[in-house]
Amino acid sequence: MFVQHESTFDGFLSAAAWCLRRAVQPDGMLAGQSDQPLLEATWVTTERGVRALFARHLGERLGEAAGGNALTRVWQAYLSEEPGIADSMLAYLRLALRLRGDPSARLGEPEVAAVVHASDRVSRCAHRYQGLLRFREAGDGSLAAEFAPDVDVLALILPHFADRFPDRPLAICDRRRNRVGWRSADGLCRISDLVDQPAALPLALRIEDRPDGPEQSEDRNSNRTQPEQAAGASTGVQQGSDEVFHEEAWRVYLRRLSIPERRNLALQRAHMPKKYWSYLIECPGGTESSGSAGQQY
Amino acid sequence: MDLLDKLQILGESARYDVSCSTSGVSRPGDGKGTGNALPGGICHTWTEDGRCVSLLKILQSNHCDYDCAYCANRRSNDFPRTALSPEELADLTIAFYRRNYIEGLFLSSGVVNGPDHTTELMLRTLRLLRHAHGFNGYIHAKAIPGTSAALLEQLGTLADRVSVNLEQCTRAALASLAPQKCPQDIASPMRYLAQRNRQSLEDRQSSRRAPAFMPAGQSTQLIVGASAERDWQILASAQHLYRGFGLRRVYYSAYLPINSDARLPSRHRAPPLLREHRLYQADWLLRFYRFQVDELLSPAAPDLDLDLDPKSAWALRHLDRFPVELNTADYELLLRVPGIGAVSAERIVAARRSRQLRLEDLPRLRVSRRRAGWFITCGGRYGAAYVPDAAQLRALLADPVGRERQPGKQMRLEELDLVCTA
Repeated sequence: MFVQHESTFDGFLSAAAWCLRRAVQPDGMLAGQSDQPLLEATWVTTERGVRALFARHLGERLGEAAGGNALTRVWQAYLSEEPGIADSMLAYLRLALRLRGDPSARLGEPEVAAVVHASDRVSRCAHRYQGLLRFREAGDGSLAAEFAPDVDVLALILPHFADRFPDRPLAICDRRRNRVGWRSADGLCRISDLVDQPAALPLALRIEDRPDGPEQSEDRNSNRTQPEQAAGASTGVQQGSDEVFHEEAWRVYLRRLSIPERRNLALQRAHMPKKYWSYLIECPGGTESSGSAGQQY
Repeated sequence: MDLLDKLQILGESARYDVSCSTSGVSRPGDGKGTGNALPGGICHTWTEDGRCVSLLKILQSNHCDYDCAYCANRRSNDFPRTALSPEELADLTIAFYRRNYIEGLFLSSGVVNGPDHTTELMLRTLRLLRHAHGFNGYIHAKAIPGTSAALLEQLGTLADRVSVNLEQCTRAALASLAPQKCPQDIASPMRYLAQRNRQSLEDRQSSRRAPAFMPAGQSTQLIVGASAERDWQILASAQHLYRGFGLRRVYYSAYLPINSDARLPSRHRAPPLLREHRLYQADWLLRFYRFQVDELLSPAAPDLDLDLDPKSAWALRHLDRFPVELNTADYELLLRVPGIGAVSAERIVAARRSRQLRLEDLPRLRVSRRRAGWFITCGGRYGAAYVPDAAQLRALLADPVGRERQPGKQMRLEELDLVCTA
């Protein structure tokens, strides 16, 4: 028997809860559309408040800290988008509840190892982008950045930057998934699909009203639990006038910081593979602000 | 001279200070100012020499009263001299920070009208950042040798990390290469900073409201290859600094022959990059693998083997300790196995609590069987296909993937990663 659920983390947790309540061991966990269920699968509707339900159960069985860690690991494994990871996630949760302890140490178990390594990969990617994301400051002081991560880390890095820059609006666009995370002037963090974004204007992020509001934020630090309406109509952000200067200043600084006698491009690439270069203003092929000389670093 | 010119000159002047860490401080944003600090540190980019860049590393001024033989900024060198005003530097730091180019500021300076005058100039920059701009990000400040205690106190309250560069670990080398610096000028600030840091940590254990002093601790730098100092002397100094002064990091900087001076190695001599790398590996063994210096080196054998990492070299000298059974060996012994890191050793100890480990489990534990296999058994099974003698093992460890690997694909030892986080 296959169990099918909505393509969200809450959808997976709802399916997991369904399996655990019935002591069912499915042949597989499948994400899909509610209007296109597979004939052979049992469709599980997303439960409201399922995340809090799991947090409470895991906290009671494992203790607050260990329970929180276990749920975070599963969530991060989900963000890895690895094929088949949902089956390992279900096994991980089942083991955690059965053992009444954190199963992360049991790396000899293939399902545990799969979840732990997927979670670590997402965590490392998020940490990397905390350093490699590049913001541009618009004329109104707001900050905008874009990237295309291998795994879905937008919800992990948005709170970090929201905490870092509390005094101005900011937005981060995931080009690979066409989603945008932003912190509006009222301090709330949200993540939404990016609709109709002109690729030629990376700084102009349109955040449009949607009839059903944006997705509930994956930001665990957000105080709001109910979906909110998008923050008004289009929010075009124009580039600040000193952006060209600061980008050029960064490039020239880095050029002079490098020691010629120690030149080691292989080591540079080992630390910073070329797949990250597209959105780094200091790297060849990195996005440059309009009017920049585009000097090679 | 415009700001871009100053930035280039003063950035280049600061590039020989190798510290790049931004770890050791956990400070969330305060909701009003700009910035926060993460305990693990963040790398923002890597330069063409493969080094991590996490801070705006720059000099307040590259004018210098001193004439240290090894220094690019020494008084007798003829090149453009300039300075950034505190306002220019603070504004630039905030602008770069806001764009996420950096985690914060690494501020040093040439010595201008004495240590205290120089430090006061740097303090103006730091006060602007912390108080006028509300900057909560990471600051690493250099303490000039000879700075008074009162100014060190202010430095420690504004900066997350403070460092005093030792540069040489023997009095003879210091007297020869930096005659204007006396050992007391270096030791006294280090001692004061260490004592204040310890006191601050104790105060904060009693009350979280107690002010932090230099919360990311103290570090220093030693130049490698500018004098006749041996690896044993360098590492023994590092061990003493870690234990006696509570230093967080000692950095090792391969001497680059940028100056012509009879006291220094020839300008044609290649910089000792591999030696520097071995010192970092040995330093890691001291800090995380519970090694002592006298297990690695001695006056009779004062230099690290350049062909082998220090852990493998130790293992080859102590083959009687191997093979180690992974299911029963204690943590300290696991740390001694080449190919098993500190994290892997913890994973082995944790995983074997639930069931006996097998060789097939090693990839999931992220243990390099290709390297560790020669030294372990798992459930009684030897980890490699055959048991090599000492000479074969040495050859295997020096070239772990075998001689059949294409020369072009072999990683040059110089390309191995330099650790840059505390």
